[in-house]
Amino acid sequence: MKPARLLLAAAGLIVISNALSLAGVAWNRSGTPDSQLRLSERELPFAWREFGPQENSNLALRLDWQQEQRRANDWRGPDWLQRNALLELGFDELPEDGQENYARWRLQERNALVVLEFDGPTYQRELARAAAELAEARSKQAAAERIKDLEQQLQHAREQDSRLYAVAAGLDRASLRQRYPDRQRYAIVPARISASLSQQDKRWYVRGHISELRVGDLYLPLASRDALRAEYAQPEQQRAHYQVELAFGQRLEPWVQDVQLEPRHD
Amino acid sequence: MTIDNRAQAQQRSDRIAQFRAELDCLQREGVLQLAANQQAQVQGYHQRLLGELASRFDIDHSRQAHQLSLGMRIASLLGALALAASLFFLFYRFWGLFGSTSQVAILIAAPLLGLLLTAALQRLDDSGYFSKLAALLTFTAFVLNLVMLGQIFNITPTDQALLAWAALALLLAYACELRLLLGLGLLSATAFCASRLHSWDGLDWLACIERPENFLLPALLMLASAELAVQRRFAGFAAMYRMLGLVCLLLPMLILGYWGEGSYLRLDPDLIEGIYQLLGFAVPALAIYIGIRRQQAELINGGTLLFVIALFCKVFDWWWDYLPKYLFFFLLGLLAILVLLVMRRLRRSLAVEVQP
Repeated sequence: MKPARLLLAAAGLIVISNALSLAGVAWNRSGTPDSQLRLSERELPFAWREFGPQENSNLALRLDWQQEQRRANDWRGPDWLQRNALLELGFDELPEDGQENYARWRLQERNALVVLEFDGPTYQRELARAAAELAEARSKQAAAERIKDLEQQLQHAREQDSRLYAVAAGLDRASLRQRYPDRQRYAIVPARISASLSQQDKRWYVRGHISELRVGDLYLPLASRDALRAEYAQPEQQRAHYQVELAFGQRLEPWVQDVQLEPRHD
Repeated sequence: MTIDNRAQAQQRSDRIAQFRAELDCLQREGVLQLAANQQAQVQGYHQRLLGELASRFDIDHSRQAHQLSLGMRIASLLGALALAASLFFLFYRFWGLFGSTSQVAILIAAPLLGLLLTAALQRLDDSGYFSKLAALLTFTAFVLNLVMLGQIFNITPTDQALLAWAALALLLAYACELRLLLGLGLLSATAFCASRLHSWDGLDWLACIERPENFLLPALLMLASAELAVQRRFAGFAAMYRMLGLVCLLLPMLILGYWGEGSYLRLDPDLIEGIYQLLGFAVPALAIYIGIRRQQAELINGGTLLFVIALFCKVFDWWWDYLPKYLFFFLLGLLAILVLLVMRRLRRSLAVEVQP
């Protein structure tokens, strides 16, 4: 084939690739969003800027989320990512829990959907757990340093930490939505889940991890970007609070609909 | 003999220069004397041929010109890499100042303008250095295009981008005879095939590297593609297919030889490791044998390198813990000498074959 025709085919490829990508974006944002959450800087802090602010003029937010701890130093992870749940997610050849010898097995990482809960019962349980732990330490007259740590943990949980918790995983979007119908509180997002072996009392147990939520840094509309740029330049403690309307579309891909800065209380 | 590309034209031109030098030497030493009309006939034929080659391809007529064009090739590669990096940082530097519509327009326009520039330079510049540079910039702009479009709209990362990059790199490589883009295209296509194989039953495509066997099929496809007739028209393309095919075939074998859990085979990991260790020696040996038979240097060199790596890994596996270090390295040295002796024997047998 002549070079000119190859270059023409290359132009066609560029146009088609972009058209397909943009059609996907349009489809994602069409109709009613799958979920719409009103989050704050606790759940959407500023994302790390590659190459530093001098070389990178963009500003983005990152989704900060947590998993319920249940109790301090909990090594087994959440109930909904134990061995049986992992089998339901398609993991196979998982060794039985409680084996004494380390089993040679094949690592796997699978695609699944994860449900994120915003400011719901899981967050309330975590607050209660932190408060109970502090109360117990005080009643047992624990070391002052330990009490101070627990007070700080409780204060962070109340005022700073993300209230967005991963609460379930599954493969079927419809059944997850049926279990969590409140679209202002529960978002379904694609994720990568992996399984690993942990040892406790000389026995091996399978536990699941969310390796990554497939939600990258969130780009802001130009107006919101300009409004937040001034805040980004401030020291962290002096930045104004903000509220972000975040929508997840037909393909569960998120986008920022609106950002509102709260008035400062200097 | 048909001449399809610049490398073949250069080889013919070099052969004519060598013939002239040797003929001159033979005539001076009185071994051979061509009649004046014969000499004029040969000279006229060579002049015409060289003129024709020079009109079709940008060939070097002297050793100095050859050295200069090598320097131009290095400068062109470095220039292309620097300009690609410049384009990358230019995007980041001013990105945040534009709205989404402008960003999308810039992202789509950049590779299309790059293509226009490549096409224009192909017409204006016979040497091809500048059009190759523009082609590499076009590819960089397209990679940025899809990556940044994904970031702006938070599109879930997909392996389909690898397919698009592979297609563009290959189209540009064949349009501009650019081996660097051929390599990038083949690597993108290999990554796409491996990720598709991996995600067949719901596994995550980004983790395709955790199953090295995913790379065996694309490796075999690359080795088979090297034999297609079309590759002969492009200098060094078949060699690039063979080299990357061999690496993608042998590296997974090397890894699986020590990590049986990474295999799809539902066998005991120790048995899997044994099988792949054997293959890790047999396949490079076969590659060397085929390379010698077909005079394909890339197969001989790649096969030898990977054979030696497999051998050293095995030696390390057997002896590192049991031998004093001086003895271990001494044995390693002896093994290298053994490989040298085998290669010398092969070289001599080849020399005997080419003697009349």
